Amino acid sequence: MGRPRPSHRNREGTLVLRLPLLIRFLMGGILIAYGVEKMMDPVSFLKAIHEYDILPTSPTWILNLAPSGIPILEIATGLAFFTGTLRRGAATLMSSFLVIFTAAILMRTFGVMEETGQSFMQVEFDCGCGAGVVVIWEKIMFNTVLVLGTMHAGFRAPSS
Amino acid sequence: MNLPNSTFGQTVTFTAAVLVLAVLNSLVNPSAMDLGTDYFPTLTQSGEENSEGALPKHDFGVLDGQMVLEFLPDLRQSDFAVLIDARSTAHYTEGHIPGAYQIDRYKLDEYVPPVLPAMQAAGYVIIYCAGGDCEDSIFLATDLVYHFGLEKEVLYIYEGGMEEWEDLGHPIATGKAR
Repeated sequence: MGRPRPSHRNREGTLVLRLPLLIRFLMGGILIAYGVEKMMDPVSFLKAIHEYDILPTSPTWILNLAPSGIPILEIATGLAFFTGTLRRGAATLMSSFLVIFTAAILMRTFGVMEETGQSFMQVEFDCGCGAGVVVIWEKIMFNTVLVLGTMHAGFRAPSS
Repeated sequence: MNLPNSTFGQTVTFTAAVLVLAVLNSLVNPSAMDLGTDYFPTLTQSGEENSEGALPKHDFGVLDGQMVLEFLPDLRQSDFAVLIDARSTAHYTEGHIPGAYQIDRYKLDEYVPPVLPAMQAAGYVIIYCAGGDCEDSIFLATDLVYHFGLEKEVLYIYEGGMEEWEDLGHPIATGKAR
C-alpha cells in the first residue's frame, strides 16, 4: 500500500482553509501597489488631498506631510500583512484611515451634487486614490470592501 | 525586540513608525513635498473660496488663446514678453507652446532662478498650465509676486492653458526645456 492520494474533496478543503491567508496577502499586495503609485507622483496626490479641504494649509507641514505619510502607511500596512508583524495595529490604523477618507469622499460628493445638480450615481472626480477620475459610488463600494478586507487581514486571517 | 501584543499597543507602535518614516521621507527624498513650503497661497485680498471644479479667484490679468498667439513672434527675441509653462517636465516635454520656458510650480527653487532675469526684464509674463481646472498657473503667479518680487501688473494668466491651445490647433513644440 502506497501513500493515499489526496482526494478532490481534500484539495477543496485545503483551498477553503487557505482562502483567509490568500485574502491577507491579496490585501497586502493591493495596499503596497496603491502606496507605490501615490509615492511616484506626490504632486498629484498633494493636489487631490488639497481639494478635500479637510487639512489646514497653515502650518504647511500638516498638508505637505500627507503625500509622504499616506503612501508609507499603505506600504507599511501591506508589509505588515505579508510578514504578520504588528498586523492588528496596522489593520486598525489603515481601516480607520479608510473610513475617514471614505467619509471625506462622501462629503465632497455631496458638495459636487449641490453645485452641479448631478445625482449621486453620476458624480465623478479624481479622489486622490491613485486611479485618476473615478465614478464615486463605485469607489465608495470598493473602499467598503477594502475596509472589510483590511479588518479580515488584520484580525481574522491565520498567521501562516 | 519585544513588540506589543495588544491591539492598542500595536496600533500606537505602528502609528509612531509610520510617522517617523513619513517625516524621514519628507526630509530625505528629493521628490517628496517640502514641509515648509506653502503650495497653495492665498490668491486675493479677501481670500475668497472657489467652488468645486472652478479656478481659484485671482487678481491677475487674463489672456485668451488668440492674444497669446500674437505674442509668439516676440518670445525669446526681446524683453517684451516671456511665456511660462507651469506644468511638470513630463508634460512640458510631451508638448508645450513654442518659446515657453518651464517652471515646475512644485520645484520653484530649482526652476525659477534661471528664468528670473528674463521675467524681471519682461513687460508681460504670461503663465499657463494644463487648462480646465488646473490652478498651477495662478499659484505660480502668486509665488512670483510674494517670493520673487515680480510686479503683479506684469503677470498674466492664460486660463485656457494647454488644453485650449491644442483644441485651437495652434503650434506645439516638444522636447525638454532650454
